[in-house]
Amino acid sequence: MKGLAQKLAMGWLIAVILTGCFANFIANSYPLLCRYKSHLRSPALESSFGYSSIPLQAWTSGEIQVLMMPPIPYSNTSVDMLHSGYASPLDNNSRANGHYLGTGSLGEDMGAIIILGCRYALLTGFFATLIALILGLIIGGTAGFLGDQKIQMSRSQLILAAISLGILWFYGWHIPHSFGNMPFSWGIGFLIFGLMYLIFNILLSKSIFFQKKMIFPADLILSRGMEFFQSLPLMLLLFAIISLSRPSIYIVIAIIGCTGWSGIAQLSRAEMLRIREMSYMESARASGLSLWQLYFRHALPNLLPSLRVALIFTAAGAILAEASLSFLGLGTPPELITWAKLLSLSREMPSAWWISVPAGLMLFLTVSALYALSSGLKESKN
Amino acid sequence: MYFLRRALLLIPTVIAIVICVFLLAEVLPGDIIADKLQSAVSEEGMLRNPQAREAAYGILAQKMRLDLPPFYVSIRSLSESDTLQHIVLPERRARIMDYLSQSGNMQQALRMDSMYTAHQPPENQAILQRQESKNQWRNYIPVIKWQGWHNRFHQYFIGLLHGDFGYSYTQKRGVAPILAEALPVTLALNLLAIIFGILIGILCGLILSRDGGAPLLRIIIDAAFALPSFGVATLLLLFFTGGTYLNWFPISGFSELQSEDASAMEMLGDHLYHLILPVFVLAYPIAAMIARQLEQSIRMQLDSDYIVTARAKGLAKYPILIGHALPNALLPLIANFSALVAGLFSGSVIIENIFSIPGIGSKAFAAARFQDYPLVTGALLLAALMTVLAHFLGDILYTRVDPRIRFSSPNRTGS
Repeated sequence: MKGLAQKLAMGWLIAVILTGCFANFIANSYPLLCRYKSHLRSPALESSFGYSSIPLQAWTSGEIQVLMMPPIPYSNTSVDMLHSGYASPLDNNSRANGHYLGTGSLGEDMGAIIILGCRYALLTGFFATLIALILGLIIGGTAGFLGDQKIQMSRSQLILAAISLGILWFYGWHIPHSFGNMPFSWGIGFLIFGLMYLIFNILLSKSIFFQKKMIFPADLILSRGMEFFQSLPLMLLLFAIISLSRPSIYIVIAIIGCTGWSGIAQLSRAEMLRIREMSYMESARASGLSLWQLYFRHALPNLLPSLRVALIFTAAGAILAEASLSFLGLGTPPELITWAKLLSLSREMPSAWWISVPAGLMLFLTVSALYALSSGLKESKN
Repeated sequence: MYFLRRALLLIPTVIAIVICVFLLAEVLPGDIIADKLQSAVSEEGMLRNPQAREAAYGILAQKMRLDLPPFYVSIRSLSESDTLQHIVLPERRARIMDYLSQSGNMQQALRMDSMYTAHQPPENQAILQRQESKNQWRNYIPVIKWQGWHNRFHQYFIGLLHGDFGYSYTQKRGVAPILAEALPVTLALNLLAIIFGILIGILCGLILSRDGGAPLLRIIIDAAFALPSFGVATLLLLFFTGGTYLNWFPISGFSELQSEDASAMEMLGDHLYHLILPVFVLAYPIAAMIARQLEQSIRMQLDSDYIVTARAKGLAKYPILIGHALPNALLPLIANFSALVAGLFSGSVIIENIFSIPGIGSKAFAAARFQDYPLVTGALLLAALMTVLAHFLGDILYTRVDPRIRFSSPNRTGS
């Protein structure tokens, strides 16, 4: 029973991924293959790379001999005037014209929108999770790996670190951005940093006061930061960011990734605390590896497999977060129609069930497939 | 003692939240004044000439205190002087900074700028530029300066302490009264949803943890976990309101009665009637989550010694389950309750919008669409503070129920 659910979930996800990757060949208003001036061309392939070798007027002049159309001969932005005004998929006439899932008010083909929606869901799930993984590893993994005792700094190093932050801000950001044309800013910044480095590391190396070691509590600071971040209400944070900048889908994905890392961070911190105490880490430490080598060669490869469940959860959460934003009409630009946007569009015409039901089903099935997969992984781990 | 330490920990958290919200409004791009002027132009058809535009810009900027320094301390270059703070028009400031980067002298840059605004020919500007000495090195010298208490962050923070959350552009009144009106609605919605969610969740968890369980219930709960609540809300609206299919519930809003011609009981009843669907939509994910966790937790408890003892004593199945296993199994869930309160502020944003309930979420959403950032950040701040408070109360409750837990977090192991 459980195995079957896993297999179904896996199959569904693979289907969605393939559909998302090859969406342009399944639903496209351009033909897959055509003959133009006795050359074979594939406008569908060309359009997915954003160029076209066939001039626009050729389409109306009849020089093109269409050999093969995609299964759905519409793209998600094309408008079919003949079947506008909510044509039902049960209507034989509209089905014969390739509208297998009906049309919207302007004659948009619902099938094409659903197919291309796979791509947006895929993009969101993958890239938002990638960003969340990187941030979670940097913040949570470091907190767990370093603990409170690993980083010992002398007072001079601590002061140097504070000063170099100021230098970075002043020469790296303030001067190049506020002033019109300041060519040597970065160079002067490096020069001053070098000077400071010399002063603090060589001239002050004799001073007992400046060489007193201090413990830098990395874990304490980072996990307090994580707790603080978790107390921010994410949806309102997304509102605030999106209201102050007008984003494209990539920025929305980046924002979702940047706000969704806390689960991964907490898990990787807890796992790192466990891995740190393993005997192989101890022998690696005993053989004199540096902190970097310990982290990247030994700790990180052992950490990643245990993050799988959390990663899948994050992907599902990212898809749902993007869906909520799209549903409210925030974030993604209006011409880009995702599944959730179909759900909100369906509120204009409640009797047109073919707008809401397939989109809702796709969203539900994809998210529940991700959840089923993660619960299967969790059980196999136990 | 624990209470006091935990309460003291609130202060830095609250200050950090205020700083974050302030920074968010400072750092993010988007010129709100220019947007406002744009809409003023389209309304009144004026502000064509630059002087009028700059004057109008200046008035708005002064209202928003943009002529003050942003923070207590500033790091700036030697050549920048305080006069720059009073030049708020971005184009003009960029021009002056451009001149400044050529000369390194503020007086000269201002003179160049006044020549530019007086439409002097470029030859004269070039002559002036050649006459003056070049002190570009002054731009590269950083100066740390104490800006005093008269800065934007201080004003903002003091305003917050006095209950002043700013001024909403779209509603043309203070943010605080808007939020004060919306808060009780959101609180009522969320509290009802949490209470029902927890009760149903505990019930379902108990049913699931019986021997054999209930396969149908398990499938329903698994599905409820993955159903996005806004989708369910849309379907419910579609089928149960409006009269397309069934007309059982009001389609949206919080009340249709006027407060003058209805008694308090009638008003309450009408509010509850309007809240049935939204509370259901908010409660079912909570119930699903609680049910799953409670089931796992109860199964772990059922293996422990005291259950064996209770069985050996001859207690029946249900007294063991409810009287012995449940209270212990509920313990780890208490940590989740405060997280639930936190999550509900985000979740109820969407539901409030779908059902047009005049809570904080729908206010914030409307504000976000019209770039009304004082209202958005005010709502963000309020929700963040409520969340911090919820975590605080959760922690206090946790130690009351289980005194073994003390200040250090339980998962911090070893050195």
